[in-house]
Amino acid sequence: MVELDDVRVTFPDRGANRGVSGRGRRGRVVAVDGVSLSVARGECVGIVGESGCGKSTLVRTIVGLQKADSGRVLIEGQPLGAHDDRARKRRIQLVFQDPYSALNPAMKVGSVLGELLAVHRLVPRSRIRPRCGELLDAVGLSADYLDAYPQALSGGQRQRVSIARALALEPEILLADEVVSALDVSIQADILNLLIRLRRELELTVLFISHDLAVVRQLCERVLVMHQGKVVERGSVERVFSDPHDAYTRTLLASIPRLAFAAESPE
Amino acid sequence: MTSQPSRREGTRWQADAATGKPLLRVRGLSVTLPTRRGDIKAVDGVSLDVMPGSALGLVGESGSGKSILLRSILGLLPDEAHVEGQIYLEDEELNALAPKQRAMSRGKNISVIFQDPMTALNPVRRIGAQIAEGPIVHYGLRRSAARARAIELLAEVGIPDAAEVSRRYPHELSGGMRQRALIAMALACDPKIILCDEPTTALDVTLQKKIIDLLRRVCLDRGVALLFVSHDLAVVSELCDFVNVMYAGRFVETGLARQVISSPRHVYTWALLRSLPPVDGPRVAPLSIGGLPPDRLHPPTGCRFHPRCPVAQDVCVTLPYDLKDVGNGRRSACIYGAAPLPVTDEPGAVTDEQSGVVR
Repeated sequence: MVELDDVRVTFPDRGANRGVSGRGRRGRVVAVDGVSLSVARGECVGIVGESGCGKSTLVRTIVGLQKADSGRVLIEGQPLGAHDDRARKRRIQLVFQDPYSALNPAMKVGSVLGELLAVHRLVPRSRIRPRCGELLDAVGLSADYLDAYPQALSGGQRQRVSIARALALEPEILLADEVVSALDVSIQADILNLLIRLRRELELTVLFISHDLAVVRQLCERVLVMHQGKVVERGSVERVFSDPHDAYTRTLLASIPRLAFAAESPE
Repeated sequence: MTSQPSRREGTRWQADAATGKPLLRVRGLSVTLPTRRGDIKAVDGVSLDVMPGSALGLVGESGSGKSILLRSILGLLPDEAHVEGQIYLEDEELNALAPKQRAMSRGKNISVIFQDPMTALNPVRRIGAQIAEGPIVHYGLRRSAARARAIELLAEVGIPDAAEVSRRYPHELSGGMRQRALIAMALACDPKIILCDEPTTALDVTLQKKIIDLLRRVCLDRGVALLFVSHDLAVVSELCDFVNVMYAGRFVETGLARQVISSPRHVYTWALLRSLPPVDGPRVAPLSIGGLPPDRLHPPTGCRFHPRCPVAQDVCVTLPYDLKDVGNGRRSACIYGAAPLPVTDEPGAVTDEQSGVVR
């Protein structure tokens, strides 16, 4: 469904460490360094790593927002065309991390969703508004929110709208880039459960990007651990949690905040 | 993998507790914020004590009033906010001070670390100069001495090559480095207490761990007390001696962190704990609390958690708010506070022995 073959992405180095050796040839920062990945239909794969490890660049490369220096990105066996091929492009949709900046503050929720349906001619004009209501219903919001502006919504509700927007184009592949990181833990659980349900109902293929292995564990079967642009470990979630091979994976696992006293006997 | 990170050795507060003089005392604090739709009581009659050198965690969801509470202690509320109640730092009543005096107390005795290190730092001033500002203003240090102190502090919070970093601008630092610089700034005037407003929420887990370890170390080394606001009970459990759980502007449960977390006495605390994704043990879907946080304009009657509570009784709808003593220095506002909660850890399951209600 999604296939990456030795993908490499570099950026010109404009940072404070410009010219420091070991940061790539000709002063370029290597963001993604030879990543290969194959995701089957209906699978949910997690990509974890700390800020700056290249996971978001990888996501941008997969959806075609970022050009790879070398390597190939194939969606269903074909490169994501640069041509105006809307039907193909909408198969893969992205949900961003920050629900506060991902929605246009000047557009009502109904217009955000309706615009997409109109541009892609997914439903007849008369069906647009009812379809928007259905989309909100799918993410657990009532149709009353169609006339709300994003500022009237909480972080969790905005993230639901962002997910509804991605679903509006009936994608087969959903890329979720840190979608719960900006949310309260109690709301995180809501959004994770929503993703688990949608994935099952819509038979979505999901690539779930996060810095938090505990969250990835809830949702994914397989996980890739990225560090400094490279995949340092990959395997089933159970195996990576119970028997991490790489030292960096162990650091990540040890960093997850744990309830310090949960195991102690009460009082 | 079972790690045993060095937990905060929560013993020193007990010595101070025996002599019994809290560093920070808040009594009957209410904060009302006017909005276009009406007045919102963001904080509704809360009282708390922070012992010298101890760490108190304030836990609640977005909108529970925890950040407003923190800002009211600092005196950094919007002008239109109406504050009732008393806030004492040692014997000084902070909210009776004139604004200028209060500003001079802020930074010196009380300092703060905000969530977003990029907006908390001045983007057009060098890091060292920003850290030096406090000692210059509050202690009259000469600029050169204050700069030297800034470099010492940067080294203390684990920044390599501190002298060089002190000459950089905030945008030249990574997120973790900025947060370390903020901690250095908070320590610059030897405060008695540091208030933290979700200082690690914007960071990834590896950085979060490093920053929490750093906060624990510097506070223990210097005997600085902490008031730590977070939505994440796991983070609080790694850092704090005590925890106050906040819901809709009120404390619903307070006590020693270890006891509150190992055997919660309020159904809301239990629900918060269940919503954390489990790291060890079987892989289960996280349990969401369900429902929405209450409308703060028209809060529910009785126990404000009752519309979302799986074991609510009729009495919860009318129950007057009362944070009762439930033993061991713990307090709970729940009708089940005195006994183990009638809920189990099974996903979605609720025991019926006390409530007669099975969800």
